[in-house]
Amino acid sequence: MPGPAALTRWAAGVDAWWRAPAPALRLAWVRVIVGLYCLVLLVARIPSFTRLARFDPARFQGVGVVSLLDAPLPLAASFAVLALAQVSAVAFACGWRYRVTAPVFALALLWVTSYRNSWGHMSHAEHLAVIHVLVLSVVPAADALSLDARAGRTHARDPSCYGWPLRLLMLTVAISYMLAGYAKLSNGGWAWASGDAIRNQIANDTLRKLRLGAWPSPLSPALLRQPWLFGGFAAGTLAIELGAFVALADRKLRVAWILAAWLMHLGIFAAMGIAFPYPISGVAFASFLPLERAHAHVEARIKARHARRSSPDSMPSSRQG
Amino acid sequence: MQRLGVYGFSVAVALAMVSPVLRRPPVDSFPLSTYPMFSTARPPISQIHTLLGVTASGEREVLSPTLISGDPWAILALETVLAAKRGGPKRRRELCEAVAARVAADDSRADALEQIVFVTETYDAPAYFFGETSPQSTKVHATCPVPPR
Repeated sequence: MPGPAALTRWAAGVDAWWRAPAPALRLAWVRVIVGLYCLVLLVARIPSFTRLARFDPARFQGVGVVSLLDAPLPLAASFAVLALAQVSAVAFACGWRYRVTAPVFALALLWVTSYRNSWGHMSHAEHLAVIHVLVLSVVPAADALSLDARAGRTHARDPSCYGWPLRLLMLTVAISYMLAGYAKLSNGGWAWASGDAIRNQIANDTLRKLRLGAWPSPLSPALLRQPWLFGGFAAGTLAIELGAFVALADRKLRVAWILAAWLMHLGIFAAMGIAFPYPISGVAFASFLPLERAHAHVEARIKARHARRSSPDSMPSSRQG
Repeated sequence: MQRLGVYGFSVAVALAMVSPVLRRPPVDSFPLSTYPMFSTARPPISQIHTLLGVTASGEREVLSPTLISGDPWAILALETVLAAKRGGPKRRRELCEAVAARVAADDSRADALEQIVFVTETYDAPAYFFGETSPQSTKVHATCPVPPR
């Protein structure tokens, strides 16, 4: 049994890691990237919201916060919340009046995405984005790169205030993948790793699409004729999902894990035509990356270009020649 | 945020995320999920519920998601068919007639198809991609004529 001194040292180590200092700019970039992603998502959802109005109301079965409703909202009310989510997404990304607009955006996005998933089919492509927005909406993610910062509505904070929100966003990513791995073992047992389950799943999905007149992935029939591939796919999927926590521990492993997870999603898209845009776009992994370095690099290049343009040597002279 | 607040909020978020799998039975909701995608150990034998068009010569043709559910989103066609299958003979008949009406209004299919059948086809799904494309069995749940234009 570790003694009290050892436990105190361990707790201090955990605290130093969890609240490690980070630049405000990194968290701000995560806010901007996630906000813009959600804005694009919400604009892209306009046609599907129009379609919802044509669905049989009997199909409505509220999930999450929308389970408060017994019946679908009138079309105008649905669109009003969607419009609120879009407008507040712009404020969120720009960091305008963040303490008010960010929670408004988070709640509007939660409502809109829950509502869209309340019609008999649960898409698992939006869960993590919504969780990230909910977290970002209550942390100081607009202390840099924001209209609030430009207007002097923010104040300097200890850099540890920006570290733990990033750690928390990373933890939510790791938990979501770990749960996906756990679900496979829980529902399919270790036999899931043999590859038969995923092969049958892809065969079933492709055949169902063919018989319902939908478009399956053009690669899936060819893949399904190579049964030996699926053991590797399944073992790799479980290793990536159950091993997601390594991405929190070590920087080199973090890069390797992000790359592996990204390739896994590309593989799912190729084999089944099912896209998870949040990880495929890389936005899901933004909190893992030192985004402020890219910012500094781009800023330095812009300054150098300005300096070259404004230096006397580079000015065209009418007296020359 | 004070240290206690940081840890309180962080632990609350983590616990909320794992809470769906701690419930009995586990509950997949939004945005808290069990992430059950692709997790079921599906057997190779697969039952496909669908609606097919029948030509004058008796051939069965695949319809589009738009004709099946009134919407091009494939997953909704699937959910529509599943809901009707679970809903019993009356719901199956209603869906069959709704599809027949959409076919009758479709210029490209109305003249070619005489009937709509609501079926459950059983396949060996992996074997299908090695050439065994005929269903092992077919159960017809409803049949209805395509109304004249």
